[in-house]
Amino acid sequence: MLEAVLPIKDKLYRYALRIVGNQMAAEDVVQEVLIKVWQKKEHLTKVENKEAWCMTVTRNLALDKLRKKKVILDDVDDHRNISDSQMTPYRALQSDDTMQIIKEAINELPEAQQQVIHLRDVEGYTYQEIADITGFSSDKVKVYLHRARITLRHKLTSIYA
Amino acid sequence: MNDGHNIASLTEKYWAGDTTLQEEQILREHYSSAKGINSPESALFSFMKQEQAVTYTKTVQMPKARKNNWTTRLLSIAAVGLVLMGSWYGLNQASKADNKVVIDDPQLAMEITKEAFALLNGKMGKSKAVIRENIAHLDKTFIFKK
Repeated sequence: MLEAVLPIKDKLYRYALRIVGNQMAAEDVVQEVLIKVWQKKEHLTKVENKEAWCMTVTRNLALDKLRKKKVILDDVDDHRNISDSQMTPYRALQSDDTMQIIKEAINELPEAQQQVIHLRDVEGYTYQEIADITGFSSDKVKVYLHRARITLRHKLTSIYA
Repeated sequence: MNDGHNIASLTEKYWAGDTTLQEEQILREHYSSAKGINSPESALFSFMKQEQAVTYTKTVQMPKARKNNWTTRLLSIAAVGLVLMGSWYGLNQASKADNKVVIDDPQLAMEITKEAFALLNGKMGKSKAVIRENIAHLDKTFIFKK
């Protein structure tokens, strides 16, 4: 059953991290998902889209965690390993500021919009797959994505104006 | 396809939430190849690229399956045998303890005790008489006379 989960563990972690906003809590969520997968291994053999099923479990557990306790927001920058040799120190500094602004702008979006834009623009899921994972209708997914991008465009345009 | 006009119209479509995954990939490639972050689009696509680089670094721990080997089985059988033997011994000791007579009536207990003492007294009296007789016999013997 491990072979069904291991290739997507990073996706599960990123999705959990997007929802709970805390590295340790997101790691706990992934561990809980693995246990759930183990417990439901009989059922999982019948599931057509195992990845979507795991993502849904991640979403539910992460939202549960978020509701149960107030998670202290942690900086996720420690986990990023970006190597861009073309970056000059000035540009790197400028870029870091911009990344921080975008991060904050996304964090300020409503929960549903945050999830939808993450699943589309980071993980590259189709509208239908996002609908399957989140339980929203396909139309609602499009609306949330549209609203999220409008908000982000508005905030980013004001920086580059 | 990747000329300025198409990119501009695709970008508009993107912000409106109408692009397909393929079109978004074209935009991603275009803005990633651009030098520096100098537009909202290049900033956003750079951010998404950074997000994709986040990985789960902890060791994956799956629950362990129960091992069903011969050692475990033999140990289980031995443990069951030990418990059974212990139970048998305990029950045996309890039944032995049941052989003791317990008299609840104090009057009856007193009568039985009196009988026991009388029996003991009789036995002791008899022994006394025997001893006295033997001593008298010894008195008659030569060696005890000076």
